[in-house]
Amino acid sequence: MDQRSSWQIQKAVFHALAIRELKTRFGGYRLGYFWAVFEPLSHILVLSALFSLIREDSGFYNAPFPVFFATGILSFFVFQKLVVTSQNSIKANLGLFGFRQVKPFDAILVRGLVEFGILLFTMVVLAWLGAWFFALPTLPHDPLKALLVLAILFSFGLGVGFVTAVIGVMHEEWAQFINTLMRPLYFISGIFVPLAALPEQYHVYLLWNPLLHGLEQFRSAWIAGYPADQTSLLYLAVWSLPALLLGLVYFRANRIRVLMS
Amino acid sequence: MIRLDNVTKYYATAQGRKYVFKNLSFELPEKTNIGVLGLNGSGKTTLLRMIGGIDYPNEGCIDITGSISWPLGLSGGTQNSLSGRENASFVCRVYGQNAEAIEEKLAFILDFSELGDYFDLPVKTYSSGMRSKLMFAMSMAFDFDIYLIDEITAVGDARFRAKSQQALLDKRKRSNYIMVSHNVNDLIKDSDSLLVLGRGDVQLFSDTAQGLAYYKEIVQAKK
Repeated sequence: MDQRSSWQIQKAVFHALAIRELKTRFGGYRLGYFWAVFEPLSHILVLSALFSLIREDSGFYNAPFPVFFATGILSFFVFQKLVVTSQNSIKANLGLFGFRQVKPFDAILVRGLVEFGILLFTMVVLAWLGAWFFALPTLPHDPLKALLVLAILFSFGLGVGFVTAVIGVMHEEWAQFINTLMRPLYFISGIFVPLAALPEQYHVYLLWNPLLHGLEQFRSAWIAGYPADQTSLLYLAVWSLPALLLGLVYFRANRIRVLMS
Repeated sequence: MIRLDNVTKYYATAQGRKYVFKNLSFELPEKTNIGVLGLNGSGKTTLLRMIGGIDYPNEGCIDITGSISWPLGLSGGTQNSLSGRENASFVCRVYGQNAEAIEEKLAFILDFSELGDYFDLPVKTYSSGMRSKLMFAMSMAFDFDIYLIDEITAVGDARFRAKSQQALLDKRKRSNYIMVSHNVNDLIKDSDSLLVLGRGDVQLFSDTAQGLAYYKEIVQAKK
């Protein structure tokens, strides 16, 4: 057999795992692609309908409700989906670690990237659907900044994901706790209402949550004139990059033990 | 070349560390077929897994040059919700094959494994014999320098066993193996050297008769 460089082997493993992830996500049933788009879409539709009923205006600031909720939910999912799906990334690939080239690290990273890719794909599809059929202003106002916010949210989710991946095999009783923790986050991260529309005296507490900064910054990148001067990308980064570092360190310390349990 | 340098391996259990090997050092000669003998629990499988790179020593290191197969005959190696074909493609991709080569290897694996329609069904629907056939066929699709084999004689029915023995025999023209088996006679017949695992110590015999005698001593002592 030909001698391959480490990078060639690594690339081959990433490629093989990415296809394997897509196969189990979309191969089993034809509706896979539909569900990927439909899940966030259902949140957007329900929230838009609800808010149209209870509020007199048709959106927040420059954003119609569907655009406002879509930007919030999709950027929130970049964090949340990574944290939740990472939990099973080791267990679901356990058999494949019988090949010396394939390591748990690869499985976690590839699953995270695939998840991120699916969300980006969903964003494009939803933006297209909204613009084409409903004439909504769905094009990003500052696409580069939007990508930057997503990249930071991704590294945040990936960092926590490395921790949840270890917890998923070594401390299963805690895994449920993480999922439960995700639910309140859904309510306090600014998916429903812009920060500026909330009473000022609560801002100081809400602003502790880095995800709120991420969501608001993402909206200000996507929606022209969206007020986000209370939040900061730096604050999100100050949480995300250490989270990624600590996640990697925690995983590294447990990389052999996860294969034993 | 396979060299173990000061390898210590233990498993952390509720009753403290259970040592499998302590400060183990040896070098396996090249171009040699090696049979591994040892009582149950002497660490044969652990040794094979460590050489195969899917388990790690707690201390020390293992140096390897040349290509080594995944340990055959062990559990693992398949993702059971994927089909046999998808699992086989996965392995081909891990080994960096291009689309053309993958097609070729898949055809070979389908033919050798005799899985027929089951090749396109999820591995979780397979019997254990079918799964072993798939794993064995996958390993025969590649040319490794060294094959790691754990109780391969358990694969399939008598006819498939004969076929797999023949395939291994053909491979021996350019490959070698390290084989664990409880079938002492077969092991002696096919091996050039014997690796005998006692309790924590490992001895290499280039004379298989000598190795066998030593192994029998260990068995006697146990009784």
